[in-house]
Amino acid sequence: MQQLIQGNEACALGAVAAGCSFFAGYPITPSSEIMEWMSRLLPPRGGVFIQMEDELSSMGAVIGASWTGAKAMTATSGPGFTLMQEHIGYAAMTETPCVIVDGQRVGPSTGMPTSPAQGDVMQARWGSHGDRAAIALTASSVLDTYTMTIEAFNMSERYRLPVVLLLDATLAHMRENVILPDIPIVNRSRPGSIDDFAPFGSPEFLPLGAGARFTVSGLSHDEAGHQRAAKSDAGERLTRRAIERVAADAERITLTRQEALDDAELVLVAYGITARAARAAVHQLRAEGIPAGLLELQTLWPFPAELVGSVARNARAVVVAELNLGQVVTLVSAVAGTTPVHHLGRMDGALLEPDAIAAAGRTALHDAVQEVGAAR
Amino acid sequence: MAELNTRNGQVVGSALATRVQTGIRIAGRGGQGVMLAGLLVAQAAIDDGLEVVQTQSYGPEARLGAAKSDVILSHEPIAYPEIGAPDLFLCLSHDAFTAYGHDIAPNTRLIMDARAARGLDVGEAVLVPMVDTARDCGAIIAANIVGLGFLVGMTDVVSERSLRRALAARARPESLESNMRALDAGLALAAERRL
Repeated sequence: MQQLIQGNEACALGAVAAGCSFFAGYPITPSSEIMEWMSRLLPPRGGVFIQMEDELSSMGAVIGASWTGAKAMTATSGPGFTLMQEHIGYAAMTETPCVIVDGQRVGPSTGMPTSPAQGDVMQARWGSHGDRAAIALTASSVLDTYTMTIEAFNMSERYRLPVVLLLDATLAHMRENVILPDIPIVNRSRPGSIDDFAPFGSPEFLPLGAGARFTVSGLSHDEAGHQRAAKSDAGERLTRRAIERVAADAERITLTRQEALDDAELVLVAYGITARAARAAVHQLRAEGIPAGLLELQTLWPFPAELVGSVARNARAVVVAELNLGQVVTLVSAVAGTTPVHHLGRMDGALLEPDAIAAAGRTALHDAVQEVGAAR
Repeated sequence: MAELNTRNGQVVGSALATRVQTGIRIAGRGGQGVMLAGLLVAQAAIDDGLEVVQTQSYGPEARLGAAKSDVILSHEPIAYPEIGAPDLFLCLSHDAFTAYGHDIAPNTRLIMDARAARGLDVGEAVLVPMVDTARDCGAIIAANIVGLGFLVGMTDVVSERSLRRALAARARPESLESNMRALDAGLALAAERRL
């Protein structure tokens, strides 16, 4: 049945469909409706909803809930996401499955609470100190928000790590007609036996209270959970293993949408809400006879370097459109070879419009053709 | 009356049916029900088998001063979610025209509350006594529904049947009757203009 649903509502519905039974958070525009919906949806289903005193405690509660075996999430925006970084690092260190939704607004700091941005891409990967395995997803429609929320839970369960879903203020508040699909659910695997069981370093997860005794700590530790806080390779070994779990499955994790790329001389790279403007720009450019295509990134981390690189190198020019002053463009430039990569960005609270992206595309392609002509 | 078209066996608006996409802006003072009006159009359009995107002003501006709700209706999937220059602009208040009138393009059809338009240069706007009519219906707060009735009566942008169904589903039971009266009054005002 077609329903009229808001982005934030779709996120909450997706979380519940994924099996989420615990939400802890602190309200912040533009993500507050996720919290509001979770407060309505969870208690009748036997789940737990807690409004915490701040974002630090929200993330702490989510990690604690996950260690009871519950699928747990929180939702916030840039300022709160920044406060959560310490505990996101803790979730990575303790291999704790959980989902963090960040409805991006203009920053830095309090910025523009009601205006969309895509400025948290790097924070989603590198916001907490040290190295770690990371997955960050995006969504570009209300339907996408539903399915990517479920994907976020599925990946967090499968790879046993915190997964970030990056939304934005426009998507969070807009409504679209959707038919919610059935999506298969992944549950974290449990060890066959608790004898000789190693609580860390594998996707097998044993919740607290299941009979085994071990320590869950943010200090570097080995597979048994014994702290190895000085001059030990245990921490590196476990971090490498977590990164490897993600890398080995990169093809399955890195989701993209590709439109009209086969013969594209001009490639637009975009993600989230901006991908919709880029799609409209591709339609405009194609109507003018310009061979443009769109690579929409649904997974930002791990970054699909190989795919982006091959698409970019086959093009004459690339334009990366994003609501920031240059984040994903640095990743695209690094793999584009000799193909010129242009950036179109803004952080004034407005969306990038199809006309602006199309104009940047025309110029980029024109310049690339001129340059080849001059070289000859 | 223009002929009605059908899509997937359901009636859809005819006046704009040849267009792939129609952008509608409903604006007024915070509290005049522009959000509800936007949701009603969007819900009715879904029942008519159309694709919709609805966005709205958010935060303090939606609670005081001017507020708007934008709805895109389309026969195709909608790529870009903002409307730019609206095709149809239903304006309920002086402030809202001041705040959002700058987006009006030559092809925008502006439908404005007659009283709110006083002292403004509203060009070739269709002036409709929305607030006065709503008062006569016994609920001044239903000016949004009078306006919606007029908009749909004039343009068939969504079907009257779907709009009634959406209103019945969304309106509070105690105010359904006055809302339906307001809707009928808006449709009647449109019918007069079309004769």
